[in-house]
Amino acid sequence: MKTLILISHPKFEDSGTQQFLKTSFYSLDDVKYQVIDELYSSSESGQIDVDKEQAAMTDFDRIVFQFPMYWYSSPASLKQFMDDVFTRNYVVANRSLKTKELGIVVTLGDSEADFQAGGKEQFTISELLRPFQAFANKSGMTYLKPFVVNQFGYKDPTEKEQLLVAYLQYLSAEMPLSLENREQWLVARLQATKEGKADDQVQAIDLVINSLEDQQATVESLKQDVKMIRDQEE
Amino acid sequence: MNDTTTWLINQLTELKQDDQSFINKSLYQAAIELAKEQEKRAQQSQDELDGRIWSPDKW
Repeated sequence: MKTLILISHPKFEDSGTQQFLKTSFYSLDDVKYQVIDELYSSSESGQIDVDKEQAAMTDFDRIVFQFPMYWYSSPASLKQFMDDVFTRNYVVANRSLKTKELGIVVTLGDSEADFQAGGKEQFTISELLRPFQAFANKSGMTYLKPFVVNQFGYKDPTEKEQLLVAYLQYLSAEMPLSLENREQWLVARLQATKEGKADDQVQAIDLVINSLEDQQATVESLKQDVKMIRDQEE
Repeated sequence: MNDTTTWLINQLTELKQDDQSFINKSLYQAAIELAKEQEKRAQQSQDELDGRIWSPDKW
C-alpha cells in the first residue's frame, strides 16, 4: 500500500499540528508527501508541471488531501492544484485515478462536536466536504471516511498517542478499519519497532506479536462459530 | 481480564517505558488497547454462543 499525502497549507512549517503529523508519517516507508504551496512557490512562473504531477500519482494506491479547514473548505492551493492537475482528460477520459482511494485529513480549530445539526456550525464535516466526495465519485476513487483532527493544541499526551496511531492507520492500513485490519497493521508496525533494539527486547516484542495473533485467531474463530449458529437459527 | 491480556499489558507497558520514541510508545499503547478489545470481542462471542446454545427454544 503506497500513499501520497498532498498537503495544502500556507504556513506548513509553522503549524504545530502539521509538524506533529509530519513527524508521524516519516515513520512509514511507503508514504510520500508533497506540500502543494511549496510546489507553486518554488516555480518561477507560478505554473507547475502538470504532466509530471499526473505521472507522479500513478504509483500510489491512496491519495490523501491534508489541510486545515478554511471557510468550510480547503485553502486555495488545493483547489488550484486540483484545477491544474486533474484535467478532464486525466480524470474522466483516461480514468487515471480509478481504483485509487481518496482520503481527507482535515484539521479544525473548533470542536468537532460543533459540526452537527443544532450545533454552533450547523453542518457536519461530511456535508462540508461533499465536493471532495463528488470528485472521488466522478473519478472512480473510493472515498474514505474523512479523518478529523480537532483542537490539537488542547490534546494531552494520551490523546496525542491515540491520534498518532489513528492517523498512521488512516494513511497505511487496509480499509475498512475492522479489528482484524487494525491487528494486522499493528503487528506490522510492532515488527518495525524491533529495529535497533537489544536481543531480549526483540524477543519480548516477538512474544507480544505471537500473543496478539493468537488472540486474534480466537476472536475470528469464535466469530465464525457465532455466524454458523445464527445462520442455522434463521 | 484473562491471563494473556494481563501478561500482554505488562509486557507492553514495560516496552513503552523503555522506549524513548513517542511513535513507538504510541504503538505499544495501541497494542494494549487492541489486546483489551480482542478479549472483549472474544468474550462477547463466547457469551452469545452460550446464550444461543442454551436457548429454551431448543429444549
